[in-house]
Amino acid sequence: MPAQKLPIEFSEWRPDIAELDTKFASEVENVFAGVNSYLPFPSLLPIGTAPLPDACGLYSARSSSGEWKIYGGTPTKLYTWSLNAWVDISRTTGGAYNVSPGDLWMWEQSGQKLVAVQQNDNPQVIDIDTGTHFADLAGSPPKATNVKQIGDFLVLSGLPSNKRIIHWSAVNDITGWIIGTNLSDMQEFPDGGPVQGVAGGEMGYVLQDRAVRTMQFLPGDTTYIFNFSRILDDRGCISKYGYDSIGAVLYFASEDGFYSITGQQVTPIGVDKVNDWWLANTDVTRRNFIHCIAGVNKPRIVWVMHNSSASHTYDREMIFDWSNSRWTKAAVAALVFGSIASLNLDLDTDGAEVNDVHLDTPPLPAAMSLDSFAYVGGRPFIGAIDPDGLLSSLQGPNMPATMETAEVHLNPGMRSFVSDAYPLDDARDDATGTVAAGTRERLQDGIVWEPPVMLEITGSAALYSSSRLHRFRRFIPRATVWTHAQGVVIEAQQDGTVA
Amino acid sequence: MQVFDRDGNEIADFDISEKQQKLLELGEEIVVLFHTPQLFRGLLGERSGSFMLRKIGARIIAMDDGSVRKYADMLRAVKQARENA
Repeated sequence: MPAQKLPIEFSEWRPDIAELDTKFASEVENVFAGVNSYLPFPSLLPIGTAPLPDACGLYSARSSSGEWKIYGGTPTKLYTWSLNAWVDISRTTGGAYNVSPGDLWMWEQSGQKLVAVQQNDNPQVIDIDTGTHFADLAGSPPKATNVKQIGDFLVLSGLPSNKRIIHWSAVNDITGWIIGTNLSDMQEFPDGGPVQGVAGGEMGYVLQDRAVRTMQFLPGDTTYIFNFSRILDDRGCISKYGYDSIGAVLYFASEDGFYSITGQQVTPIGVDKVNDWWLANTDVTRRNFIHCIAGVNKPRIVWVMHNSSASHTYDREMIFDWSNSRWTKAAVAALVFGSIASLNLDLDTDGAEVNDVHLDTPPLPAAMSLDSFAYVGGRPFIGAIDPDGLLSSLQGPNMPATMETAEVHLNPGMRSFVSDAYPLDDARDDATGTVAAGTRERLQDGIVWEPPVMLEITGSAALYSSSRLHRFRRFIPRATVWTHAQGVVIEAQQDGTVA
Repeated sequence: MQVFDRDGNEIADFDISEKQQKLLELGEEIVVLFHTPQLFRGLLGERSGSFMLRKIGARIIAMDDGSVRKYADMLRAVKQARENA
């Protein structure tokens, strides 16, 4: 039988069932999932040189004039980013803050005020337009782990004084916290465990340890204010930061995996896909610190977590693309992640500001046109404080990528000889990229990965692999420029025959 | 914050939010809505209402002193209930 050329796609990553189902891949790393290809996952690119060691908070807020500001927090202080430096804007009375190890600052903009909370200090507030220092939020609100604006109310949750309770402000007044006054009140949930947080926008979701409830404002009802309806029982959010919402859709990490909720509709988005892998391959002791971030400019939601007990920082990302319901994962390390926005670029060429390089060093990079969005700022992106404490954007050189095909039985009942593999991707100048064959004789055997083979000048990798079952793994090195990877074309024939 | 009726008699003393205080300082009339907090409804029963306040001179004047007294009573009852809880 002559040798045949067979295209094999990089399959959807569904490690929970990939071993016995020949449609799915058991491994991908550092990629996004596209419709019919994988896309590169960028590394962190520092956008400043001033470090913020031990950072545990990152947020962007918008002033009344539309200008974006970036805020950061450490266990003891709060900062704002200005001209390549972190400026201390901590409270001036009350001493240093005291964020518990592993905890994060959580933030919410309410009008021109920015509120920051963590459970050990009073909620902090600053005027985004004119404020120079944070201060205690007026009205004696309770300490809280999370803060969320739901309609016209600011809602505090994860209260250390009673974790079954949420407390919301007076209507359109974040300085009013007297329960029973101007619609401010508390709601206690007798079952379902501690409240992890509140998500949503006009309609809220209350995420408890073992339940999820909707929180619906009742206009005109000055007695009950909100209607709470349980929509999920026995399951809730495993982490106080492990949830986020996009529009009316809530995403969260539960004890047994990942879920989404739209109104009353609960969807187990990770079952038979990644839940078992996640449970087996990440640090079980720090699941309560898993942080969920909803991307603004792409249809993706990311859970960042710790790979193992040895991880000093967040170093594992589980990425769900809600446009195609596909998962991938990545291994970018950072102290804290956040959905932030680019700052505006001015016309000053002193070189001190982020992006001034575009004006300082013509012709490359080329100066941006005067109507460029860069002068406006506000482009949303996933930001982070990298392990060195540097403010970074997830826009750096591509991470080293690994993609895998499903397992194939090229000649059913027979052994196959695969002579080479031709990757279907556009990796430029790929001098060190490889393809490897994973083989086994029967489903009951373990997979043996043969040594990776580099690409030759022809674009193929000479594998010379003989087995009954094959799968193929493509590795694209760090910083390689590429846009899509679809699979490999392999050249195979029944073993023992002459091509 | 001391609240007076139109005749100048003090009728209550309670806090309002910083935002409402600023509005009063600016000469605005403010509305205070009140209801029995949900946690204490079983204990204190249903109470609700509203009243308006205005700053005249140095004094905060209630337009409806009956509702203000009802509100002040509710606040006292809530405080007592929380202390006993």
